[in-house]
Amino acid sequence: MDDLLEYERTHEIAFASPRALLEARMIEAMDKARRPHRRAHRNGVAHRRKTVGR
Amino acid sequence: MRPIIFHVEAAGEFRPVEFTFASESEVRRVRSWRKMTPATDAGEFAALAAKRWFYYTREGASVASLDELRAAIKRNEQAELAFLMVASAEWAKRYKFLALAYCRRTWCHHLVLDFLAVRPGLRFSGKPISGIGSGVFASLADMADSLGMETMWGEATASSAPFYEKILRTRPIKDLFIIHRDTMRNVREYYLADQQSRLAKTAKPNHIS
Repeated sequence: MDDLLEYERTHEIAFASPRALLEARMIEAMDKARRPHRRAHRNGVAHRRKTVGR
Repeated sequence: MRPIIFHVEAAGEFRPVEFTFASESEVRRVRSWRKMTPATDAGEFAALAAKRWFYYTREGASVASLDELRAAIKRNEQAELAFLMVASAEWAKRYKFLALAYCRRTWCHHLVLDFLAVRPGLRFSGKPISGIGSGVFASLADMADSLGMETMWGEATASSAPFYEKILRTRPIKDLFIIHRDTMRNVREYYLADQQSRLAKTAKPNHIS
C-alpha cells in the first residue's frame, strides 16, 4: 500500500478508457457543431447592420 | 442514501471524504475543472466525463443516486446506465470536488469504470492530500459488490496500468482489468486493513503503562 500511496503522490491520477474518451470527444464535437455561432456578438463587438441607401 | 466514506491522509491526519452520486448541478461544477486546472489530463477528462453524462441524461440513460440506479434496474433489468461519482470533503471545501469517477452499469449488471480523475495539486495546510485515487477505487469495488455485481472492469492504458497493478496487487495489467467479487472484497479488505494500521500508527496513545 505504501507503494501505491507513493505512486499517487508522484503521478497524476487521471485515467480514461480509450473508447470512453473517443466517445466523449465525438459528443463534444457534435455539440460544438450543433451550437449556434455567437462569437461575433461577444466581447463588445457591435452588431453589423445593413445600411439602407436613401 | 448514506454517502460512502473513505479516509485520506492530509497534513498528518486521517480525514473523511464523502463519495456520492453527482446531481446535475454537481456535474456542471465538475465540468469547470477544465478551466480551473488547464492543461491537465484530469481537467480534460472531467469536462469530457461531464459531456458524456449530459449526453446520456438526454437519452434518459443516467442516474443521480443509488435509489435511482436501483429503480432503473427494477424497471428494466437490462438497462445500460451511466453515473458520475464525486468525492468531496467538508474540511477541503475550497476544492468542492477532490475526485471523480465516471461509471456505467452494463446490461448484464457489470460495473465499468470509464474515467477516474483526482484533481491535481490538492493540498491541505500546505501539504499534499494522499490516497484519494485508491479510496475512490476501493469504494467503487465495495459498491459494485454491495449491488451484487459479479464483475467490474475497465480499459487500462500505459499510464493507468501501474496504478491498477498496485491497487489490485496483480501483475501485469495490460489493456484491460477485470475483477470479480472475490477480488472486489480483497481490494476493500486490504484497503481497510491498511487504513486501520495507519490510523493506529498516527493515533496518540491515551494511556502509558
